[in-house]
Formats: sequence, structure tokens, C-alpha cells
Amino acid sequence: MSAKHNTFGAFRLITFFTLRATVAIAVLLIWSATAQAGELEVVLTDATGQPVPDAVVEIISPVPALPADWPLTGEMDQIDKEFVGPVLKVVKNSLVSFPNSDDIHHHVYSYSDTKRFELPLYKGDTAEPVLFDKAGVAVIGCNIHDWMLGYVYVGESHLMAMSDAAGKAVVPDVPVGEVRFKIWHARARANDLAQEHVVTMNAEGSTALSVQLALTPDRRIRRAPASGGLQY
Amino acid sequence: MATYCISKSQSLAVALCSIALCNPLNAETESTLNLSANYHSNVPNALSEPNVFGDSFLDVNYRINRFFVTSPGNRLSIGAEAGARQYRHTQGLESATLGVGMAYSHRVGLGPYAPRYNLGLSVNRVEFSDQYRDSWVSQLTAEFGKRLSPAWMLTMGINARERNGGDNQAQAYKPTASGAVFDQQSREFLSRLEYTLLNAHAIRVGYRFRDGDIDASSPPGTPLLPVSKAIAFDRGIGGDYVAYLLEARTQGLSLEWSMPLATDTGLTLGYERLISRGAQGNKYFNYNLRAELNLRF
Repeated sequence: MSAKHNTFGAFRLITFFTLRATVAIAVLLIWSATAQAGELEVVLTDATGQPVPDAVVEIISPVPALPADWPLTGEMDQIDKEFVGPVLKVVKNSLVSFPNSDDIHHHVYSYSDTKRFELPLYKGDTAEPVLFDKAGVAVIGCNIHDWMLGYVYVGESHLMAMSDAAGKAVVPDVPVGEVRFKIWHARARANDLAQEHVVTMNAEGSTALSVQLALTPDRRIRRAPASGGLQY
Repeated sequence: MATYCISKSQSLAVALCSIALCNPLNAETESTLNLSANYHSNVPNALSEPNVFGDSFLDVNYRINRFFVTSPGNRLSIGAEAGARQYRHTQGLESATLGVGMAYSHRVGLGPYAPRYNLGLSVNRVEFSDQYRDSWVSQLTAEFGKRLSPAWMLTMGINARERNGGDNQAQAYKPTASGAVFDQQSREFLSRLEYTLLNAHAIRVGYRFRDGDIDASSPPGTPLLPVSKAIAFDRGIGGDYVAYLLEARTQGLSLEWSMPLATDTGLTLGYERLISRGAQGNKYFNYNLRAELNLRF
């Protein structure tokens, strides 16, 4: 009886330590993964040295799994007959809503290969969200107000960032080591869009680099009025 | 016939105003204010020197439109306008305009490159300081527009215009001749090609061809007076001028440069050269210079 009790006690002790070791290893692994990620800071300028805002930097390799709690939603509002942003970045399979905060109708559409859709004549937030299930860029327009122009950038990866007014895009949680990324801007030239950039993320936590983009001219449809045309 | 048309136009004007006021649908309201300084090289549209003289004038025009998007790609616009013109030297040609209009626009497809068709109708009452030129002006316009690229835009159209100035028989030059110089009808073809520069400035070249009545003024003795459709003393131009009506074909070539000053403000500089050729082979030359401030609210 005593020997039986001793054997059972030893078994419980081994199980207890095995469990603790497993937890410890898991914690170590998580800590290790966290410690081995850093920020990638990309400063974008154009050919004249001016900062390039509204560009998207996306990590394409290596890409960790999408966290379970990552929000798969996005919103592009419409205020004063303009798309607010006007660039929105979302991960593939995100639902994007296009609320209309103006007190007039808008007719939002895209005929880009990335997503073709049409939200005809609505106000407020009555339009159904649109599922962007293919990576790429969807150019968004309004069929009533031709000058309205927006872009939804749909990334394969959740590791992406958009450049601010100073042209700086900071991608967090980028794995240490050799990393490949790409840059998108609405006016970037095809060769810039096709280019894959390689950087070695150091273990100190942050890696910075500058990239110059050759932008195409800004030929958007003009909003300001002119004389002539049909009067009514 | 003309009286019948104007009566119809006035009825239409009343109907349009009623619809706009009732506002049965959600509508988008847009108003524009255009202020322009102009120079017209041949105010009396005289045939030759020394009867030709130029003058500058100021135009102000305010228009308010209500757009009803009836279905995707279709838009009904109903509006009203008020305007005034003030010459620098010429007495009698100052004018005030009040009018209403409507247009229906259909876009074939989606997006800015889809062709658009417009059909517009307007009725204006124009009153001049000389009272002699006071008229109802009705215009029916059909336009086609196609954006060829973000930079290039092509517009073509036709319009029919009718001006009814009354018989003015009291002003008739001869008791036996008609005094209805400002009863006029014309048809016009117009086209515009616009190119937008990188800084959103736009250069526009336009051509128009008009076939129909024109009026001209000159002192008595002009050989064309006998072949005129109507002749009357011209109190607007003054002096001893008489106004006469004749059929002519007019060609106009215009060049405009339009620049954005703010989101909803633009400045347009324009030049138009007009040549009218009468049935007798006589030619009338005009040019107009314009600097126009366009504001949208």
C-alpha cells in the first residue's frame, strides 16, 4: 500500500514538473518571438526630396500568422464630397464600410480588378459593407461627383503602415532578420510598385531606411468650377 | 407662332418653379456666382468702320440649381438664375436677366469616362435699359460629353434659340417695314476640347457654328437695310443708329484658360473671335475678352 502510494506520488510529481516545464518553454518562446520583432521605419520622399504621404509599406516576407483578434474591418467616410483619407489599408478578407456623412446622395463604386462593386445612391450608413477578399488596390469613385477619388489598399499581410504627412511609415512587430517589403502609392510608377525592398531587421528594436519614389504627375479630375458647360 | 411659343415657355417656367419649390425628392443644391469683366470689340455689331466701336462691361450672374438624382446615372436639374450687365460707356444696353431652366442628364455606364448626355431647356426674361430690346429668350440644348482621359474632355452639342422681343412697331424705321428686330431664331452647333494641365489649370478650345438671325446697328444709309427682315430706330445704341435684322451664319473660335483658386473657386480668362456672314456676303467681325471669377457654393 505504501509502495503504491509512493509510486503514485512520484508520478504526480513528474507530471507537475512536466507541466511547469511546458508552460515555461511556451512563455519563453512567446517572449523570444516578441523580443525578436521590431519596428521598420521607412521615410518616403519624391524625386525633389519632398515627403510622400499616403503611401503603404507592406511586409511580404516573412509574415507571421494573422493574430486571432486582428480587426477585419475598415471604414472610408465621405465628407464635403471627398473620400476621407483618401487611402485606406486593410488586410485581405476585411469588410469595409463607406458611410456617407454628407447630406446628399453619393454613388460609390469601383471597377478595379481587386474589387468590383457599386453602392448606388445612399446617405448615412445605410450601405452594406463591402468584402475585400483579394489583395491589391481598389480605386474608389463617386458616380455623381467625378472628382471624388479614394483607394482601398488590400494587403496580404497585416504588417503594413501608411506614411504620414512627413512621409514616414512605421510598421510594428516586424520579425528580426532579413525582411522583404513593398511600397504602394497612387502615383508611384510601375517599376517602383513592382520592386521588392530587402532590409535586415536588427535586434535593437528599430530599423530605419529611406526610399525615394518617382511619382507620376497628379492628374486628377478637377473640382474647381470653370465657366461654360451646360448651365442647368 | 412666336407668341404661342413664349406663352408655352412662360407656362413651363411656372411649372418648373412649382416643382422646385415642392421638392418632392431629396435634392442636392448648388449655387454659382460668376463675376466677369468683359470687352466687346463691336458693340453695335456694325458692318464696318467708322460705325464699329468697342466697350467694356461687367457681368454678374447668380444661379441656383437643385439636382435630383432620379436613378443611378440619371440626374434632373431645376434651377433659376439672375444676372445683370453694366457697360462702361454705352448707354441703353444695360440689362437684367431673370430666368429658370431645367436639364436632364444621363450617363451611359459608370465612372468619369462614361459618356454623358444632357438635354436642357431654359427660359429667360431679359430687360434692357432702353426697353426696346426687352425679350424672352428660350433655349433648348442637347449636349454630349466624353472624358477621354483625366486630362482630356470633349463636349459637343446643338441648341435652338428663340428670342422674342415683341413687334416694336412704334420704333419701326418705316411704317411699312417690320420693327421686330429682336424676334430672332437660330440653331447652333458647339464643340469644346479641354485639356487639364498638371496644376489643374485647364485650357479649352471651342468652336461654334450658328445659323440664324442676328441683329446689327448702324446709321441709316447702309445698303443692307433694304434687305433686312426688320428695321427699327435703335434707342439703345443711341445717336442716329438704326437696328436691323438679317439672317447670317456665324462661326466662333474661342480659347479659355481656367485656373483653380480654391476648392470651389476658379478664374477663367477667355477670348472669342466671331465672324458672321450675311446672306449678301457681308461680314461682321467681333471679338470678346473676358476675365471671369467662378464661385460655387
